[in-house]
Amino acid sequence: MPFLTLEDPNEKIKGSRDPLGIGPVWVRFSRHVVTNLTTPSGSVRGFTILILARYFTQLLYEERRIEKEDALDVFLRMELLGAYARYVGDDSVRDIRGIERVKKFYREGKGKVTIQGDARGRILADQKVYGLWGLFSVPARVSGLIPDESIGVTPLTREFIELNYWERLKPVWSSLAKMLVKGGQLDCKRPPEFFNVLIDILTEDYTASERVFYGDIIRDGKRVEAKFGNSQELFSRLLRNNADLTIATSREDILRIAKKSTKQDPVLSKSLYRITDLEALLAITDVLFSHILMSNNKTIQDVATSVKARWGNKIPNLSEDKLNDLYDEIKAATSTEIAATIRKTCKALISGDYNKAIRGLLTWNRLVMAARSSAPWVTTGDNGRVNARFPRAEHVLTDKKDLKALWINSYYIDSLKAVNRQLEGVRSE
Amino acid sequence: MSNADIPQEVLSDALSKAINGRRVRCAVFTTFTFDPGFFELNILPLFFDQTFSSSDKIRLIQLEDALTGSMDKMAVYYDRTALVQDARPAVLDYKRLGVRRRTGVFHPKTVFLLVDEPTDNYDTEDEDGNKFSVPQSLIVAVLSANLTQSGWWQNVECAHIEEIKDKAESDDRISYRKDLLELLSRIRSSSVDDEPHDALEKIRIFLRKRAVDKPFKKRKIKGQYLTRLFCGQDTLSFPQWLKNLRIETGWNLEVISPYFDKNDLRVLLNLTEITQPKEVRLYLPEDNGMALITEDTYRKGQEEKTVHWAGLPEIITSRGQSGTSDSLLPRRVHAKVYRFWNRDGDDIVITGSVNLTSSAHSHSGSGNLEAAFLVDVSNVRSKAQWWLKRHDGETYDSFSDDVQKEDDGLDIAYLDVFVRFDWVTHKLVYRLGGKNADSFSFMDISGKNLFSIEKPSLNKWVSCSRQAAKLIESHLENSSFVVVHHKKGSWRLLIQEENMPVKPSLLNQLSPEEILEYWSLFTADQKAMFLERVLNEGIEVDGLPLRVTKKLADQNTLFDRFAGIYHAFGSLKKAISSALDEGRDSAAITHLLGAKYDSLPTLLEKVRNNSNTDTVIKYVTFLSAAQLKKEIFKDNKDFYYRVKDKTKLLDRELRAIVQIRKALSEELNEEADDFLEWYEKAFLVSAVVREGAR
Repeated sequence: MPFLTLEDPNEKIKGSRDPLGIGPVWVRFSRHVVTNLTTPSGSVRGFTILILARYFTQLLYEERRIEKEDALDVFLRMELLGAYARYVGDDSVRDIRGIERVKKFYREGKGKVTIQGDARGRILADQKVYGLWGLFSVPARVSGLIPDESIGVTPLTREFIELNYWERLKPVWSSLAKMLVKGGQLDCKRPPEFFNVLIDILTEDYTASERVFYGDIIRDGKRVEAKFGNSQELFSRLLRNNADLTIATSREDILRIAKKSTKQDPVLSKSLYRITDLEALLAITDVLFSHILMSNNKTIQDVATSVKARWGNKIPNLSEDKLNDLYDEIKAATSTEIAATIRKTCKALISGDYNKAIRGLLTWNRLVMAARSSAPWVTTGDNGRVNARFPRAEHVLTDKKDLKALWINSYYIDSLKAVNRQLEGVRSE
Repeated sequence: MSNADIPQEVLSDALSKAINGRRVRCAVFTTFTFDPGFFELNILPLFFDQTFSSSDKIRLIQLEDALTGSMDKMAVYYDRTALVQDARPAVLDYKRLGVRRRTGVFHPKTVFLLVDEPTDNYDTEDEDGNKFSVPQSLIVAVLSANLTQSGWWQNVECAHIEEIKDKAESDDRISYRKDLLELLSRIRSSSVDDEPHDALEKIRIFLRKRAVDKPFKKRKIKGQYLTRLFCGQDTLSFPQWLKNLRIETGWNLEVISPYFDKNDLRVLLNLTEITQPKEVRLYLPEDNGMALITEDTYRKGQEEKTVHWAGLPEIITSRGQSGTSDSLLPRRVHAKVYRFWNRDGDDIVITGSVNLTSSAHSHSGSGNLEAAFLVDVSNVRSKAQWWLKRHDGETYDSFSDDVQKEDDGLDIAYLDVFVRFDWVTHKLVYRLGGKNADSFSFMDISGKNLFSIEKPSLNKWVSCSRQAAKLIESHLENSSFVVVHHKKGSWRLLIQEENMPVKPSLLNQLSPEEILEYWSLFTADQKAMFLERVLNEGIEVDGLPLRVTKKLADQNTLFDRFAGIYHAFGSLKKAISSALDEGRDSAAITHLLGAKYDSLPTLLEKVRNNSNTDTVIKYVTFLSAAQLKKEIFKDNKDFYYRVKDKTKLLDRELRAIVQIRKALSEELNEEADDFLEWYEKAFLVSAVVREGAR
């Protein structure tokens, strides 16, 4: 059957081609405040399924029912069981990896679905890479939920599972274990008892002890050996009290929290102010670069003039002092040459010299692409006109009035908000 | 109409579903624009049923291994003038064949996958004596998507996937078999004359020998059109081809095409003249409120009574919730669809690479090379409705100044130059086609000059100087791209690499014990996880450390003791023998003679240079290697003759046995020489295990 293609879900995870290489820069700054989460790992129940899958694998291995090399297959079957249990328990849940296929298989099979991690049952094109195994294992390991081994959980997690879940699972373990080891068909409409237990465990309502456990480990990152110190607990609390958890992060949110935390945790406060300073630079350069891509065949001066007409002489939220404060860390995330170019571009923006800023952006893009052995996205031809290789941009040129609050990159704060939201029982629209 | 009425799938999902966990033995891809880095990291993993790391660096190494261990042949044919500008270089070992056509462009976007059917007890032989141990199937996907990120992940594209079963498994006739053979022949003839086409040949052999070859005499069966494939065959233009198929007249027609001829709708009118549609809906490409056609084209469409400009439902073109900005523009529509249908439920869809342009509608000898499937879906689709929604009442006042073209933004290649480097002979050759013998030079991506060709020869392969070859050899360790500089301009070129198994590996940090352990692992997943375990040190994903495990200790593992060494060599022998049984020379070469991280010469070099390794262990390892070489070549004489010019690396390493024996002799007593002479002879004779012995 011929078909039109849907946007690939991976586009959201690793989609941006990032012509200015700003990803590694904001990621580095984000790790001062969010120490353990990534963009796709903002689902607490995703972590629940992951730790259960690894706990079961350990048990089956100890019972000599599987070898270590079977761990991945068992894991994937549990991931599928977990996904269907969550969907059947609450069909409005959106943070299930592979939700589209879960719905489709459930609908097509009238509730009968295949529990196999291979082509027969998988709910993602590459279940291993883009499912919980691939995307949640690193955050879980960093958080202290699981050890480095391919099976099992840390003693702390084991204790938590045994106190909170195992009592309900124990009576159905025999049939659940059979499904995990061999896979097979599952009738969600006339389910075996173990499936009802999983639905019960994987409900969107968290028990008090779950709130404490996931709150400590995932939300507050208390077990993380953080590279840059760890203020995540306070940051989380301030987010809950001072930001709307159901909408994306805004400059206003972060500034408010930075101010609130000045006395309690000056290090957190400074990290947040630095994120707002960095974002003021990265967001504006992102938008300006997109605009250059849409300006094929125009001279640099023409582009500069049009930007000046729209944005005026002064770009908000940028200053040389702020730039100097960020410089060393930008250099650590990029290279001396790229950092120097970023500095020049930023200075040009501060002085309203868009011609110079645009030239700086072209050099910046050239250096980033050269490091990837790729050609620049945009050059100036012999006639001095813009020669954009990707004439279609992702964003339209922002209005002047919106520049002050411009915010594009997430700094994983949205994931932290999502975790807070789930543990607080706040439903997003 | 809801979007549910337009069939939609994630392209990667659809292809994974078609593969259905079967082992892909041979793959051929054709594309116009090509991004090798994206293809390798994000498309290639779909063809292996194993886990891959989230770290690009580790993933590439795992893919290098998967390609060697699982797939026989793979080739990508791309238009040499259409490398994506932000493309990352190719690093893996498969054929990358840059094509340049005399007329038009090389435009088909297809995927051919030969997969093994899981079965027992199957042994057959074709009339040429080719043996097959498993039945196979051929998956054929015809797409509008190029092998790029925008093609596979972002754009609205179209696709259709078919599967052809081995005639041992099914006697179903294949209505488009001859069309496919025509397409393969055209792909082949589009590239340089003396280029080997091993992967394409395997697909062709399957179609000729193993697919049911009884042709259909009719164009319709039970009132439905048979599936066909357009590739400009029989010097037929697209409308003529449809005329030959006697497509019914008087139906509705909708056309989705992102590209049009300049100021002209003649191509559409040629089509409607033949098919006489009642109403035509024509997709109007637009970007942020601007129509991406010229005003003249727009007006010409409006002047036609039956033609209406139209758009796809917003739900098809809108981007997912990225949570970053509300100002995201819609997805770019790059699909090329021609749909003929009527209210009685008749429904024919033609999907593939054919734009609504004269070069796409020409026969393949005078325009582009294209590929599109015609599929009758009358019995599949239930609702007889339009996909496109008319832009009634909407007027456009902003138009593109010039016509949008598929090659917009791509480099212009001013010369038809092609470059090859051979990792065995270390020779660099170029071939300059056409009549223009202008000088040109090669630069690296940063613009640094590498070397120049002052007086090029035309239309033949010419060897470059040894110095130029050395420069390119060292350049290839970082990037497979070079920039060609000509007086008219510069453009990028992908160097064709030959004999890549002996190219230095992406990874060279395994200890000898780790190499031996690696040989002993059974499954692809075990190997992938082993690599992830030993390589993860210092690697971060999204700013988080991949793992904190220490590397395996170099000492005191099973693999620095004799039992481990014998076991590992036994496993390696099995792997090589199995590769040879399956006709995978490349894998056998990589294991036995190559320069990859787990190749035998690499192990020997590491053992030889490791001053901490016990001399007896060194000696036994080298003897095991010599024994392995002897046995493999003895059991596979044809293989020896095929690769005898590639044994240099291994032979050089094995010569070290003399020094190692001497060192050992010095460590032992006076009678050691006699003992070692006896031992070596005895060692190199393989032990025969008697029946019943364990």
